[in-house]
Amino acid sequence: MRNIWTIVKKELTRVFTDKGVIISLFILPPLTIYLIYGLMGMSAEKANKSANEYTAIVYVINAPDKISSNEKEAASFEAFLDENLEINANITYEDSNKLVEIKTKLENEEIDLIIEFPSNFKETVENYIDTLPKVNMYYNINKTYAENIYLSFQNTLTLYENKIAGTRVDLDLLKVFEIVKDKTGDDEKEKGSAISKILPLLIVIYLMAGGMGIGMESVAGEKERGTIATLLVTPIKRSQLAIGKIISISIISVLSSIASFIGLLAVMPSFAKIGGDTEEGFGKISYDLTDYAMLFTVMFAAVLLFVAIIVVVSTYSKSVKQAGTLVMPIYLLVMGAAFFNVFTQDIPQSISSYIIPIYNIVLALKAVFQFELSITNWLFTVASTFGYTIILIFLIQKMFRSEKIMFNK
Amino acid sequence: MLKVKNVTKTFRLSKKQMKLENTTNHHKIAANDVSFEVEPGEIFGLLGPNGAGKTTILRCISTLIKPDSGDVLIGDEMISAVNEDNKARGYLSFLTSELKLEDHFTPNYLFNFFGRLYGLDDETIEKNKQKLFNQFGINEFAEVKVSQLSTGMKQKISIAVSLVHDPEIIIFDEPTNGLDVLTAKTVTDYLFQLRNEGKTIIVSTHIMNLAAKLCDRIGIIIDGKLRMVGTLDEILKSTNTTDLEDAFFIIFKQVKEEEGGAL
Repeated sequence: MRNIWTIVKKELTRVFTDKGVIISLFILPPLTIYLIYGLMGMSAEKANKSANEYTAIVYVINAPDKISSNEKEAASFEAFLDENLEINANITYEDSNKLVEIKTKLENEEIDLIIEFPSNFKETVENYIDTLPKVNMYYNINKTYAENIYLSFQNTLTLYENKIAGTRVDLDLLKVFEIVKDKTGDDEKEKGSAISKILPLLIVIYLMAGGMGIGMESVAGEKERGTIATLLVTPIKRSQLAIGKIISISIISVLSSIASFIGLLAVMPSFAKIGGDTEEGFGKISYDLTDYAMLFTVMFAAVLLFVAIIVVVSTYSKSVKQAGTLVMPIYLLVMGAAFFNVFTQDIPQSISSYIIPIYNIVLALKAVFQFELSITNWLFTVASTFGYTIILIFLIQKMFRSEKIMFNK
Repeated sequence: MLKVKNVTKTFRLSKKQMKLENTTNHHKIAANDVSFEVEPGEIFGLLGPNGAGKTTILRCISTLIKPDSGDVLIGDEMISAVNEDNKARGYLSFLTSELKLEDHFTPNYLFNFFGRLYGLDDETIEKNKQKLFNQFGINEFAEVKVSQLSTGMKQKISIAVSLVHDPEIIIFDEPTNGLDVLTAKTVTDYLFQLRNEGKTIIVSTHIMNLAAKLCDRIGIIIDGKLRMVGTLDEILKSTNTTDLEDAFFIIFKQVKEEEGGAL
């Protein structure tokens, strides 16, 4: 135990007395997260604001006047637009003979939209002629906000169509029943479901990334510098050396992850503006003590496993550069397992799902956020993950004994 | 007391190594049935050209690698370095230019760190530190990071750290390699002091003068085989020469003639 603690202390001293390492592990990640997500949030907010403030330039050709039938009357299209249009628009009304000239303006991106009614629109509608009149809408897809402007006018036209239909029949007679929305279920669970999509992914990525830099360097770097052999001629047991390395890197990994999460939490209000919805934000769900206990034990087991994997790769590698190359596919695999879970809705309850390495961690994290992690599944996740870590520690100490791995340059 | 008994170690060569060694053989016998003994209070020198197998034998003794066959027995209890490697390491000190110290730390920190790994209490560590740091003049830079020190200073720290546990057996691979004259003198003087304290010392070198001056007995190793073992006088007498370098070349020539190879 004393030897393990000696190794842990030495590794931590090395990290915490090196300004460069402190900056790269604990300051740069949260700062980068804060800046990147903050900028994304600001850009999204700015984009939304610009879209709302933009005044569309629209031409309406042959805008129909008031339409009457069955002694009922629909307002003119111009009056209807004034009343119902939800976006800012500068609307000009013209005849068909100007259409070619206006279309050229559209091609030159000088205007946003043309709505063309047929010249006989009013007569056709009022006289119930079989062939439905065609209302053409022209817009230039290369123009900013063109799609939004088109959709907004399309909705307004649909409303206008309903208004005209209302002059022909009593719309109330067409109603047969009313749908009453009565939402049941656990609100917390619904919010938890939203969180469970993204948080397991972030937790897994940060936990693994936090240990990667220092973990890859832990043995491969010592091999490169020739310092590992100095350790190996001392009476320390190889298993103690492996455990000492894993514990110290795990501590560093957890601290680095916490730093990254602080950055993430700090930027969350700004980041939430990307989706424009903050209702499902963090901190609005109350998990109880059991949930937190399960969450932290799963995370604890996960970080040990991730670090053990990194140390295996680092021990096998001849250099830090090779370790970096070899660890990348494993990192992608871990990310793959996490991404896979983002798109799955149902939480499997079979025990077998909770013993698949790495996948079980993401699954358990997802389940705990959705209040669906049973004690049995939690136990299997934590126990199997500890089991895999012990196997890897055994493998590392075997590797420490291998001349080919430790001394083959 | 150190007993090397019939140690044989073979390495598999990579294609690159085969090309470098100019051989079609996939294996190289680095140590071939090597046996010798070193008594307490004696400095034994392994003398041989580069690639003769000196470092391989020292690595087998220091437990860094395991021999294919044979054994290394250590101390009065005759602990097997092959079967009880962890226990054996407590009696050994292995120093080579290949073994480096983490240069982020100070000599003081490293001495304490290795002292703890050897299971020493703080009092013993402090006592040994005072002795060794005074011996090598490390006190004045005890709190300076190793990265900021010269090669000679680093070598002194390496020696001090390797002797933290006051070992019975000291293995030194090329002890003066890369050192300036003054540091080399400090090192050789200290080896004499350790011998006088009754330590069992084994050094490897390819420098004839150093072997002649430093070693009580010399083992000449060529192509992984120990060709002759004896005191300087015995070797000179048996080769009918007056100089170790001449003696070495006679033995080397004999070996190559027996093998039918070129010199």
